[in-house]
Amino acid sequence: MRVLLRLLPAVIATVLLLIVAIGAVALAGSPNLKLPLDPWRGLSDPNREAQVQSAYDLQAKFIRDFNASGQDPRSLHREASQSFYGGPDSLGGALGASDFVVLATVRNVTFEPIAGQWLGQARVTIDVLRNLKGQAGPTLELIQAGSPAPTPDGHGVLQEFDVAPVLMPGDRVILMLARVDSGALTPLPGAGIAYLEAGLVRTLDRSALQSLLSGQTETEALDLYSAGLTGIK
Amino acid sequence: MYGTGGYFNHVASQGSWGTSIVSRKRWFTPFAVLALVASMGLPSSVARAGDTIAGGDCWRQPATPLICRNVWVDNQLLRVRLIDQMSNAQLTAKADIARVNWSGAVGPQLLSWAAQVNDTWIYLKRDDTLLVPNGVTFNCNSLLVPVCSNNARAMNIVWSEIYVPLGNKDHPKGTSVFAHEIGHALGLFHHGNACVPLMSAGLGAAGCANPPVAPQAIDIGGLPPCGANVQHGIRCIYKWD
Repeated sequence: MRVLLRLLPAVIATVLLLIVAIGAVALAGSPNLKLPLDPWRGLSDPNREAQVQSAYDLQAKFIRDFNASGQDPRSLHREASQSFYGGPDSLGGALGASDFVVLATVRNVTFEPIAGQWLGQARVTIDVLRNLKGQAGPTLELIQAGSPAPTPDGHGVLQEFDVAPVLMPGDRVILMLARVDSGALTPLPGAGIAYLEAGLVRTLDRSALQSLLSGQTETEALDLYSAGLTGIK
Repeated sequence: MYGTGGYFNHVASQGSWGTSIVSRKRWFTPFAVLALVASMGLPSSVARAGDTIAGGDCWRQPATPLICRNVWVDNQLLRVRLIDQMSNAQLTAKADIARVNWSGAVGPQLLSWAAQVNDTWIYLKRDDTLLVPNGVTFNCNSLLVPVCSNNARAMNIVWSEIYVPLGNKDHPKGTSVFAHEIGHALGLFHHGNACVPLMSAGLGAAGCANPPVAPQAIDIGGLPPCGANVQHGIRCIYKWD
């Protein structure tokens, strides 16, 4: 009897722990686990719209504060979005779809909120080092979809597209540029951005030109572009 | 991420509680460890196909990340309101074909331009910084600091925003863009690079001349529960069995 009494706490602890463990396992496998409550439940349409607008306001303030802070956009974690665009799947096709093809360095990037939506845009200034197609002046201004955005941890994130990451100050690039509906110039997604890093080309993962250009020297790549342009003339 | 963090905190607190109870009985520790491992949900380590956002779904929390629409209820229709802010009738007409195709597909989704009781919202917006044909979706929650993400992060989606350029109105892939982006808003991720699944990453490529404008079998997916060898389509997310 004394032995049994001594073991009683351990037995109780065992039973309690088993209950907790079984409960947790059952909870994990349960299809009926309660989801977080719908935060919009019971809200009128105007109240919901006000919440959306307040998110836009917060986002716009974050972008403006980011610009004002002078913080290097490279310091932000980059979050690439999946976009639909695939675009031309050959160098000739991409060159043909471009209004300008240039060798350039990126001088500056600033970000702008767009009224009535979450996603902002980047305004990028580039110094043109060489014109391959079109006669661009010494500088060009480009627009790209993407902007810093707030995150609950306060650090923020740079939201951009997988096929057209925002160009960063100091980037040396070969760009194929096309006009969007607004008339602004933007890099052709996917094939339109070729980075020159330590003298070698690095293309985007979703670029159709990856096997053609990646690893080429700057001179070799420029020769390929020039030859491609001769081919489509 | 939203949902899972709370669960693991919960489990962690259970762990401390259990350890303090048994600290006087060293022989008990192995049982506590076993129980903890079991309670943390071994299924989460199983390899999964990547065709729902972050591999998540609505209903097996916390075994999978939470990717859901705020109004979802098991075995009931998911009523979705499309809010047209594109100011272009041709774009709206293309979006309407996508709406009808999604509503007619297997799954709980019922998309409408009109308000429905207890509906969840998808805005259709113009972004003319995008080259044609293009589209992108942001899914948003309503935390104190709201997160609007572009498919990378799982969350309890309160509203979505689909952006398309004006030029999509004349493009033969314009309808496909809407159908594809609505799939993202419902919680689907890219699936491969071929020309056939609606959620393929390759639909925009020049080689895909006639991409689908409605969800295909692989986008709908198999009967839940979805395992490592079953694709995760719309039925998996919303337990539509």
